[in-house]
Amino acid sequence: MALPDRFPAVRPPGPRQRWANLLVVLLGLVGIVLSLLLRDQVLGVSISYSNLQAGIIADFPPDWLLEEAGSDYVFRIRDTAAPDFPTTLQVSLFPVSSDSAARNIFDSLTLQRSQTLAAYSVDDVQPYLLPDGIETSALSYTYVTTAGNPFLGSRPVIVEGLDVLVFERDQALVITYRASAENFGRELQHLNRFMQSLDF
Amino acid sequence: MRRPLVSLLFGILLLVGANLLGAQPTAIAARIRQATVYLMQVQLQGGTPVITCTGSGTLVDRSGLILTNAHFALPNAVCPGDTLFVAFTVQADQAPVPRFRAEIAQLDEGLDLALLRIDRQLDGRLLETGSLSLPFVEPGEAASLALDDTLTVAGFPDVGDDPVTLRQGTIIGFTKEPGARNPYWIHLQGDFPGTLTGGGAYNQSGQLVGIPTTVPRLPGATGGSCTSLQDSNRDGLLNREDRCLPRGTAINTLRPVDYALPLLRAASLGLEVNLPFADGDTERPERAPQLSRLFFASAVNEAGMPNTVVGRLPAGSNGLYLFFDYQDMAPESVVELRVTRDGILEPGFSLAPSRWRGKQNGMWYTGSNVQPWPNGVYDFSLFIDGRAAGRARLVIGGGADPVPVFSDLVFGIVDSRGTPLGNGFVLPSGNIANARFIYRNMRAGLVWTAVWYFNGFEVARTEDPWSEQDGESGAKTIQVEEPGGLPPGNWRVELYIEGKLAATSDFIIAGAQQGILPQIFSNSRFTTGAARPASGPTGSTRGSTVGAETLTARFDWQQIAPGTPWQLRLLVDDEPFFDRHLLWSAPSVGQDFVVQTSSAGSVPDGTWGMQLLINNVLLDSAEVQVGIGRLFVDRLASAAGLRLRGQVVDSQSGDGLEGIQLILLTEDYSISDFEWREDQIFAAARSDQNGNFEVQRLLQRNTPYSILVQAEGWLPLAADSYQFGDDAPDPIELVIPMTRDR
Repeated sequence: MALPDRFPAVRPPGPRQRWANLLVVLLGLVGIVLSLLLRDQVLGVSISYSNLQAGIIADFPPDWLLEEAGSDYVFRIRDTAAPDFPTTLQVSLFPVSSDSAARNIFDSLTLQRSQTLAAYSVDDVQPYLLPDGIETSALSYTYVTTAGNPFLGSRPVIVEGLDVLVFERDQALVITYRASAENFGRELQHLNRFMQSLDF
Repeated sequence: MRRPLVSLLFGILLLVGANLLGAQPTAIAARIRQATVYLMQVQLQGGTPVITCTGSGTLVDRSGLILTNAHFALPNAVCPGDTLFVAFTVQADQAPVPRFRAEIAQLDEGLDLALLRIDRQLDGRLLETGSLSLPFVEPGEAASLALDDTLTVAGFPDVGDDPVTLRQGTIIGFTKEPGARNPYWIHLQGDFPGTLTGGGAYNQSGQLVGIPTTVPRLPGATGGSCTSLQDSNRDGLLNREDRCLPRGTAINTLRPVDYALPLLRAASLGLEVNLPFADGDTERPERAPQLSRLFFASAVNEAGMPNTVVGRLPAGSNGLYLFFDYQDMAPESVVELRVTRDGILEPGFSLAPSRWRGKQNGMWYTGSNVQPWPNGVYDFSLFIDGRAAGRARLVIGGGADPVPVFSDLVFGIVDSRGTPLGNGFVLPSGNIANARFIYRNMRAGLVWTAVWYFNGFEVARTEDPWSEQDGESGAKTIQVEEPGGLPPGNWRVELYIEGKLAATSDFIIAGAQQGILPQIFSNSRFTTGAARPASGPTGSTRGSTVGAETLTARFDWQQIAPGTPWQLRLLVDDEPFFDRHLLWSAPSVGQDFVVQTSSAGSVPDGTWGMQLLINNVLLDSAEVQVGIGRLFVDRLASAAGLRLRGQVVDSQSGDGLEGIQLILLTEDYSISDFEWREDQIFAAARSDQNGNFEVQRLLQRNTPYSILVQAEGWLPLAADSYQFGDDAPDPIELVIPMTRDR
């Protein structure tokens, strides 16, 4: 197909048209900035939790379920909307003595969990850097969980866990983070934010 | 194979750490570290697992057999837990991590040895048989050790975060006790905390030669100490109200590994021995243990009796034994011997607290004839459960005094023709018993006394001035006579000079007169299952049987009194798998004493034997051949060789690759012969999430292996005749680059 010999002449935009174009671009940029701000705000929205008896203050995301009635933890928060397994952050306290070492706490946790968690397996004990720069220890582990309802056809889920241990006077604080193995890395940001907000 | 193999020479494999000079000891140390495990005995208290005792242990078999102490493996007053957890050193510089549970496979409380078998996952699920392939160490020969040898002791130095430690020590002594010719204890000089108990001591070749042993005392007992590490009562506080871990004192003694070999053999073959009658000491004593009649001797004869009684020894003496009588001892009794010379503790002669190995009542000795005893005033103090129970003093130094001496008591029964019978310490029944002894430096007129005891009660006594006719030195025979026949049982003679004990010895009367040795046991033979056997000739019998789950040994007996010590030894291919000193608890006369050896499957092929002994005298035996008559040789049982480990990486990114399979074929097959049959595989490994792998079987030098590395989505690598020469480093570290299959 042959091209036409000449194109119709294009008229240059008038001042109104120029301002309109500029305004559209500006509105677009403002929208982007606002959406980013809104996203950060949504992500950064948190609820503050405080337990004066235990001396613990921490922030956690909204829509996460708070539980304080557990026998082996001070409190825990769970994202029940998470797929496969509710991502969990949990704080426990253990009395210690001058002879206590990290390994003693981890061994106690391991022995306790080996009674109740299927295929519980310790991966390793690794150093963990607290937000204030102090190095402590963390126990990483996995286990398998299944739905408690026998009438549902759910499959077992591999859960990964991380216990961050902090010695404070005559107590050891254990911050437990658990998520399905598939989401563990992605949800780790919640642990990091939680650790930054944690005060005890 | 589904896809063509890309055969490459493994020239791209990177050998790291080829420092040949330092590689071998480092490899041995690494192997020892991997084979050393931390053991936790646990008890459920209100649903909470509470650690009741801890200790170290050593993997001695790839299937997960762990050699350790019995005192914290078996539930008892100090360690009441009922579940054993096994923790491994996952990273060399870190504390151990719990991985499995274990059960007791074999046990000898007296020797304080236990063999545990890893049988369950951490969460309690049973492990599939043969699913484990763990690093382990081989036992060596403790009998070849000598003074001043250097040993390496491995174990966990505390209950905190410290990783497994290797510490060196020097052998400074050996201690003998009743029951065997070889020493029961090796004394080591070094810094060995009590938490190393149950670990391993290694010779220069990395072979396990001893088990460091000390027993913690009951918390609250004198000298007992413990540490509270768990809030066991869940009151939110960690204090004295909580269960605490008992801690033993510093270790200076090793149990030679030789005594663990029968347990290891029985556990490896899955054998269990059942006796129709329990050992004589089944009832726990109600009274507190007591020691009496402490005296010294310079030598012990083959029956475990003192040659003489000494009040002092000349300079340069090598042999010194402390004898004592004991009453009301229990297996849980903890005995400690502290020996001081001129007031300073001598670790080379002292014994750390250890479980009682003897019976409830009897005579015991402890001492040595290996190392020289320096001059000085020696104080021997015995403690039972932390309480002082006996003390004796001896001076060594100066020349030999010409003091009157009685020595070398031996016994015999005189038959109707006047011929003495018996081997000296095991006599048949009869009317007259002789005691013959040697005397030196005697003078006429010295008052000497002979006292005969039967089962602890005095039955005869003579006291006379020494006759001039007997002279200064010579041999003398005395007799005890009972017209109705001397009853079978435990007999003792004590000889005194001027009221001081000069010589003493025990002997046993049992069985009927027949030749030199008494006929106590007879008609020993083997049968299979529970079927009643055909009668066979007395003494050693031979037969052949195969496929049975139970091997039954039987024997008849006569005139053996309850409470008589005897020894039952069961062997396979001339190696004992059961060797126990027992007290006779059956009737005095009988037939068909049944000793059953059961196996999880069928009784393995081999030449099986039974030996019956009293006072170390072999009195009867039997032998039977099962199948081909010798044990199957497990080629996987060797702990010698090269470790192969490394990392599988993406050739482009360098990232570690997870789930890559590495297969080594035996030297009999090449890659082209590989038909994916299990029996063609020498070893296999799979890379972890970081791409790291380790082949658990050790490779032999100068042996050609074929190697296959493969995974879905990656081009496989394969090589034949891949071997490691004498100069190959240990461990061999490979980096294997893989190329994606596009």
